[in-house]
Amino acid sequence: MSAARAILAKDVRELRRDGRALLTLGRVLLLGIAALWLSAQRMRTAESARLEAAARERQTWLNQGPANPHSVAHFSMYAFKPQTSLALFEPGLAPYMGEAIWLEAHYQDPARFRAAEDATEARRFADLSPAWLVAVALPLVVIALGFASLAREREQGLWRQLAAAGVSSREVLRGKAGWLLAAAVGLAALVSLPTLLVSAGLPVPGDAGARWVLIGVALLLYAAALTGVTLAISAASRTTRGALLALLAFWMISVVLVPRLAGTAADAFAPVPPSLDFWTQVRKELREGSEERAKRLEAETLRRFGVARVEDLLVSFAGIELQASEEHGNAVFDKHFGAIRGAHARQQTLMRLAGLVSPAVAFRNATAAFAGTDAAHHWHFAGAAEAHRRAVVKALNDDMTAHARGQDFDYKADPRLWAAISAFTYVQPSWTVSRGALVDLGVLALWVAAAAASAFAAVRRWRVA
Amino acid sequence: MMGFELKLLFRERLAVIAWAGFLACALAAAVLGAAWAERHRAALAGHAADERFAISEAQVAATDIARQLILPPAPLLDLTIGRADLEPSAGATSFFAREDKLFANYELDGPVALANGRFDLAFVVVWLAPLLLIALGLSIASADRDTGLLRQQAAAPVGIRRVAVGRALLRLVLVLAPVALVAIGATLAAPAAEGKGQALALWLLIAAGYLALWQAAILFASTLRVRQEALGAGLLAVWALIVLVVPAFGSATAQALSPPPSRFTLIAEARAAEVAARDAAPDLLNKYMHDHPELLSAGSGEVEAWVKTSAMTGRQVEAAIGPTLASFEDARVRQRHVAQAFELLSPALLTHRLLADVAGTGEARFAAFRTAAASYHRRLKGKITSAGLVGQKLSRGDLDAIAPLRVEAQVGGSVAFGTLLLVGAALLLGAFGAHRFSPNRAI
Repeated sequence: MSAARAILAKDVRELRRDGRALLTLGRVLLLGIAALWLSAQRMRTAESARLEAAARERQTWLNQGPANPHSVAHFSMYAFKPQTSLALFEPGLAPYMGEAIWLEAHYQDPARFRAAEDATEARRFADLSPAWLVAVALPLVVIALGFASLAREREQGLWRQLAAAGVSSREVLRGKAGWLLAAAVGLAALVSLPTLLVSAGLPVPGDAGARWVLIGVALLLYAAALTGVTLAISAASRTTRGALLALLAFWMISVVLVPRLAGTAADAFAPVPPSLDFWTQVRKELREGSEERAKRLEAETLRRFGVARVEDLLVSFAGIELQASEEHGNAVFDKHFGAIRGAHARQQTLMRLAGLVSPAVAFRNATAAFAGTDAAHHWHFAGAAEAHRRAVVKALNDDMTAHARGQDFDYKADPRLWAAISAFTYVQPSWTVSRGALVDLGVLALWVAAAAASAFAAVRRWRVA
Repeated sequence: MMGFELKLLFRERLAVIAWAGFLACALAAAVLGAAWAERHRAALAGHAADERFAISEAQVAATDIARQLILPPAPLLDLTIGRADLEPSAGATSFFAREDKLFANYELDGPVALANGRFDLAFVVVWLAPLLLIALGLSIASADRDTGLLRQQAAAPVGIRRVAVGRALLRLVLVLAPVALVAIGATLAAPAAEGKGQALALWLLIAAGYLALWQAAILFASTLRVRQEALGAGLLAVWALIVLVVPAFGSATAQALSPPPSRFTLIAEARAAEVAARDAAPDLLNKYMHDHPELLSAGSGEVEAWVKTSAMTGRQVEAAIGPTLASFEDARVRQRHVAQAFELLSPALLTHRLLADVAGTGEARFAAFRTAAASYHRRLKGKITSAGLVGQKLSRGDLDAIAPLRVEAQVGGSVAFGTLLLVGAALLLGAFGAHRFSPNRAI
């Protein structure tokens, strides 16, 4: 048996004898199961309500009877955002980004109804989910199990005996790291894997396998980073007390301080304009130059159709005007919603940078991205909804152009037109829409490398001492 | 003695770093809080001055009338952002507005800050200050017990109880003073607001009560014969329980016990009602005119058919979804009650709510705003719908005669009770902890 394996076996034996560790593991697991059960209940109810409402919404759309296409474009339809089973593991930013978009004529709307608004403020203290539990509780368990592992050997002089027996400091470190990493990964898996069991019946993205693998990588790297940091600090501390205090300070900074500070700072450095200012500006730009645009459009249309007066057109000029107005609006919305999306992306970049200070931030960034609950996935949904809005409104305007000559807004389209316009369907994109989260995995890998190097450097200093 | 104790405390480099870090956090929280609050206030001022809502002519067509719904900025917004970044503080109502859309299209904020919560002074008080108290509190007695110094102190004429209580008070002042100074500075720097001074005094009292409760708990824990690291780990576990675990379960339980109805269902209901009402609009209009015979002779202008249809449809949809909208508010109230039950287990949750309520950014004030806005909308619609249907114009005086939007959150009793609970618990636990500091028990 190698020295590292012997040390590993001895530490595991000690751990088994010390009931506290098993008790801690048990408590965390219990919390995890409770978290998962509550999340599953919530999601199942929300998903069945979504499906029911979507079916009812389609029926309402089809049963409109004869109506003017433009009034139907105003009524339009809703895009309901689906959730996938992975949101059970990591709700991420989804509760803060809205879940339904009205696809009305003339306006691109943001997603309405943020789930967090229908919850108490306590939710922002802590959102009980398996990912939250891993991010917050796993470091505490690793610290509880590992803070004394190297510091005690040094404090009690056991290291001298091991050195005298020809065991190198590297072997000691490998032995300690082995069991601590196994415990951390095991716990992370125990908290996370039941998600797969309780997610039956919830929509599963096409690339769920790849997403779970990536989440697994994030879990592994996070567990390894925590193991490394714990051992590095334990090795560098002269006393177990010092190691414990330093590790608790690390936890506090990494898990409590940095996520909030980074989130608020990101919002300050890459601000999103207040919605009131945003809409004032949008309305202004929608109106700007409307008279000139109308004149130009009329002249172009008359030239295109080779007639001298609007009354001589074989189509409805009102329909043409409406579509032209939509196209002008689309450019305005692309500019302003593009700016919002850009601000969100810059905020995410700043959160990525915060991952360099806090592995918990890097871990949550990665899990939200791979679970499909980050801003990039939301914007993919919003983009799909907007594309559908434009297609629906254009189809209705085109019908008006083709059939409403001489009647314009008094024209009523046949209800078969509503059936010809498809319902909004949304397919969850591939995880690659959030490929930027690979940087978060890279940051976690950096943490692992830096922590391992620090731990080895610290034990090397023992030998010198 | 205090000067010597202070010197002793700050002889440890870690204590200096921790305290300086805390001070930096308090200052950063004040700066970030003030920056956000300033943006918020400017946006509301812009909305209040929006010319779309101005009534410049003597008489205005009822269908052209639109009024702002504004929740005035909270008096201590800079200190506690609370729900202000999540819930709308401004909306609008008009002839065409519907109760479910009074606040619309405001959901543009960056989700990162929303999800993580704001780094404001309330966060520093509720989350960070207890951690500093724990870090500094390890040397109240535990460190001396580990080194055997406590025995010597017991033999000294001054007595270990006096020393321990003195140390605890000194540490409490060291944590509370920066918070108080920064809070006062931030409040003075913010624009004047009604009741700000009184709110600040109460805010500081709540913060002091909460931190005193923590310090009392630390004093009590210091009487336990455990080593310093065990005491630190134990207190941190209590912190995690109170600040993280109990609120997490409180929130999850509140949602599980009082789930709100689905927003998807609300949308589907409203839209089905809209289509049904559109088909029945002529009948609805006839019935309305029958119920309001005074309108038959009040007409002064032509009204387009779509305006009448829209008015009737809106009324019908509001009637249809009224119960669902009310059930959202009911669910929120029930959730708040469940969460408040958990406040008895978590002083952090209680303090967070009290600070927000006093600052004017708590859930209760936003709920009161929603209720007041809906009520004002109904009053205004009552007036302008009738006028709009017959093409009547209204004067500014007609609109001023409508009772204005007034937000009154009834939180006084709850805040007084919560504050008394915190202060009372702190005094009781502190007295009990001090009492246990006898040589027999503490050494």
